Amino acid sequence: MRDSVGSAALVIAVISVCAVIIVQTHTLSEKVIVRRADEQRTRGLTQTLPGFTVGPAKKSAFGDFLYWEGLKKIDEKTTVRGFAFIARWKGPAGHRDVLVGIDEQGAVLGFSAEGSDGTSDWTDPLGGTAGGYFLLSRDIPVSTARDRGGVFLNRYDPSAPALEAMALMMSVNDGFSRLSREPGIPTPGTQGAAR
Amino acid sequence: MSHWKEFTKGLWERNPQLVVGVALCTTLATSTSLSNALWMTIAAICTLTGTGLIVSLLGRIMQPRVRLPIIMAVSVTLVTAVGFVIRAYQPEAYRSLGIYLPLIAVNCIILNRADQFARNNGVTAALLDGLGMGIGFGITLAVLAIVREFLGANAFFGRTVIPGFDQPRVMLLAPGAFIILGLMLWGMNSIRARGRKK
Repeated sequence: MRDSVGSAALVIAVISVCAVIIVQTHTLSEKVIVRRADEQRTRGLTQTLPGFTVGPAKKSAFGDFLYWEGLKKIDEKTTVRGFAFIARWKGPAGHRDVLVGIDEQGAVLGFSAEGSDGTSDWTDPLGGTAGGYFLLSRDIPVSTARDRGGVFLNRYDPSAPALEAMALMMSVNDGFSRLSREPGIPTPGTQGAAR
Repeated sequence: MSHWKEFTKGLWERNPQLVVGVALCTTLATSTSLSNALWMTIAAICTLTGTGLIVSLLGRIMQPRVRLPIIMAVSVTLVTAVGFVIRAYQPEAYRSLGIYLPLIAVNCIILNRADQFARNNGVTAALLDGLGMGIGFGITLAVLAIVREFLGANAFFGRTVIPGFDQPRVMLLAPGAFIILGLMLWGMNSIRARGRKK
């Protein structure tokens, strides 16, 4: 009985100390994590909507995704709008998030890699070689990419950038289909995706 | 055993991956680049030495039935704390290591060293054992990562080594890791067998 009480007290004490350590480390690191995420997002928006003054994130009226609206003054009378959103390409081992900028007609203005999860072999950050190789080994029907975006990329092309671009286009088109249902946002075309 | 021997046994004689045969899953998965190997090694060393230290301090008052929960609580806490720090200051490395960083908590090296060694030894011995095992784990991981990164991505620490070299990318995938690790195990066993004959 005495042993049981002692053991229980020891376990409770150790777990309590562990909980305090985790909470404190989380509190200290959270500020840095949030600051870095904000910096990365700002850099990404600058890259995807070049020259635009981008406002705060807005939440879509449907679904659960965020988008950003930017304004760019062409001349005294003309101001154009641009939109940025996060497109997600899902793979069997994880996903890749890509920040995509489009204009009012749906032409793509820029991409920025947001990040990825999953094993490093399969979903390493854009620009890596292993991800491209993995895409090469997957059965991605070319017709799907063509139908969805008017994009044709040779799936047997061994160069990783082409395959990554294909993944990007699939992400973009997924994002397009979601955005086109958003009230007040023009239906994007596909001519921009072929750039 | 002298302190020096406690430290060096993890480097060669009791190397975690090549002799004991533990932590192979982590080794295969995180050896795609030298950068990944480096951060995984740092996380493993922090967890091994920290868990060894605390278990060594609690060794005499721990009842056998609560030993495993306490070791798990300590290793999970240390891995979580190290994970927060790496996520804050090295977000790329954190993303690259993925699930394998938190999985250090249930790594066989940690449980093995804490339960079999640190519990029955003093603080200094436990610290040196954890440090030696962590460095031994890191050396194997780094050697594998250097070979895989060079052969699979023609790079060293992310920088191109030979411009124009058409590298076999399979080396970055799981089969490449198995082939190179298999060759390393063969080499290690051959050297040890030769040593025993002498």
